[in-house]
Amino acid sequence: MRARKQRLLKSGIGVRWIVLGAIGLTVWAMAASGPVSTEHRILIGILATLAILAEFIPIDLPRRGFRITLSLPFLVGMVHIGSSHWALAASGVGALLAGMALIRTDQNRIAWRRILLHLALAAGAGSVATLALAGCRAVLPVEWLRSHFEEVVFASVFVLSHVGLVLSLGRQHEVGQREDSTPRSLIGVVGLLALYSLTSLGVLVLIDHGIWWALPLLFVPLLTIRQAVHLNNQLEETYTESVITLTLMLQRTHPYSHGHLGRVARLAERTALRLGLSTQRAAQIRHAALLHDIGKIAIDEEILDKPGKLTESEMDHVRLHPELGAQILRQNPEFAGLAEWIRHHHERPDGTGYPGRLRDVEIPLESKIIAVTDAFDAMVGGALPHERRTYREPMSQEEGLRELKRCAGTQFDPRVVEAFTATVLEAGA
Amino acid sequence: MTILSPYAASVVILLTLGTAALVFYVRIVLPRQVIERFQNSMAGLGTAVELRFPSHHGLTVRVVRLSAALGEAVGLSPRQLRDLETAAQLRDIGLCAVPYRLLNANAPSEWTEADHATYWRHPEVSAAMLEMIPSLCHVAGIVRAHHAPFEGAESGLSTRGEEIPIEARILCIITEYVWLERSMGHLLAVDKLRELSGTRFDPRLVQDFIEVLTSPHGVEPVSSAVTVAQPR
Repeated sequence: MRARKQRLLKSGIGVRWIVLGAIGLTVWAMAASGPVSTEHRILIGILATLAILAEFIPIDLPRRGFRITLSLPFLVGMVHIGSSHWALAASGVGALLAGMALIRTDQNRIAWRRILLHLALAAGAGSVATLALAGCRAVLPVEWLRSHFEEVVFASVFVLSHVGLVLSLGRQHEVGQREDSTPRSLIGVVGLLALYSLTSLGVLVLIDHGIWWALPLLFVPLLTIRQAVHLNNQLEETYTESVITLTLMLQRTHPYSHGHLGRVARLAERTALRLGLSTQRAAQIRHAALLHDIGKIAIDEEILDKPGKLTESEMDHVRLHPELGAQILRQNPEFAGLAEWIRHHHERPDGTGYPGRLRDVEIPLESKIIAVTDAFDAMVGGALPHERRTYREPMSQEEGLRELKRCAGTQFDPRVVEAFTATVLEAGA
Repeated sequence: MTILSPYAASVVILLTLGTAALVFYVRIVLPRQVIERFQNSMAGLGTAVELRFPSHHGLTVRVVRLSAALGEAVGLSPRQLRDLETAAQLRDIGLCAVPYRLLNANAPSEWTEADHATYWRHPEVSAAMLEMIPSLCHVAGIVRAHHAPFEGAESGLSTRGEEIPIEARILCIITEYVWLERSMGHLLAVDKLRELSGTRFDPRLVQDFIEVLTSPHGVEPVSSAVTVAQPR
């Protein structure tokens, strides 16, 4: 499966050099080709057509900036009949044609550079794989071993180097924005990859037995894989988008929360990581932190924005918000875990918090993290004047940390405060 | 056809089985999951508005059910029905921008002109929010027009009649009916619909809706103990 990062084109670090190198390697591979029989030509034609067609049905994963195409099985088929250079050419032509066709629909100005990069990545990965193949031919002694493993080597090196190139380029551009949902879908991914490689083997079998007419049939598994990835992506989109929609709704009620939510979310995630929670858990905490005040949708905003001290009954009204937030989130089973954390984000270890008056050990760690982060950001506030809370002068970062330390043990969990302080100092330094 | 070697045969068989399993998963299991998750997350959004304005409690469920019934009766395509349902769920998310006290403390009869204007801006606000969400922006048009009067607004520039999407015309009737049903009961609500048919509502759809309500398979009216005043 070939993953392509589109976003990295924005800066295009070294893209020109990659393109030059890739073109060089491709030319070299073409030059190294020997004479070909007519039968071979026809077969190559069929396989190349299929590979190019496969390029036209990409899977777009917009939130992650990936575009995946499924042409590898046919490329492996070409390698099998001894034409790795043709495989490279088909892959390049496919990327070019498909890219040009997609520009029309995308209306994207950077599309040309994107095509160049796609070409470069495909050719780069293909060249590396070809080299690996040549090495494999030289090293593996036994004939049958070679004939069975050559394509596997080509395919795996191709995929690895392609994904590696994409990720290493992409990493430079979005440090800290990585979506981490891999563990959840790992089993599914392994299954899909297995079917994908089976399809590649299927191409080889059909070639070996001369059943060329059946080659297009292999589009059935490919299209199904595509659909599966697409739907899985949609599932994740639904999750992300309902988080976004809820946040939008909250911001409509309380415009001040704008920068606050984002900062709390980022800090909470980093603190969670520092406390040794898994990346997946930390990502969930980030979402929970984004949504921690969602219950305020159902709170009178005039009370929330009121300067000065609130009366007891007004306080009681405001204190409903963790419970209300949990009620909103519980509607969606996917948010069930988050709902519990949010319900308790105003509990205190000394047992005087609300709504449950829980004691230290009963409060979920996630709630404690959100509590500390939320309190800190409320004290220190944003850098921009209009983000500051109306009822209090913002503190400096040091003052805020000192205040957290003072309340550690009563209002906040000392362990969390410690990890949080380290996180803030590290980010500030 | 050539006889396949054991290796080749096993590849072909595995490939066929794997594809069949994946096709089953992609056609049957996944779509169901996608729809279920989508509906769950919509329900969460609806709940947020209903918690903010308790007088709206329980309206959305009924609006969704009735608009689906009417949509089916007038023969909308499955796709239109899905959009109609989504729009019915999300039509009021813009109420978040309506001040808390306006709906919770003051009766609509006491509202000033400005209060009415604030309240009736909610379809536009909902639509603007939906336009920011890629998978929901296609229902923004329906939501924007879900209170648009059939004969056109006073300004004269607005869409009118059949130009308004049919989903929005359906939603317009249903939301009004559900409000009225709760405040004055089923029979009076139907009378009111008839009265406004042609001016605020599409007369043909009102006719169809009354048939849906009175048909033996129709949705039985709920008797609600809660009585709330209708804005405007």
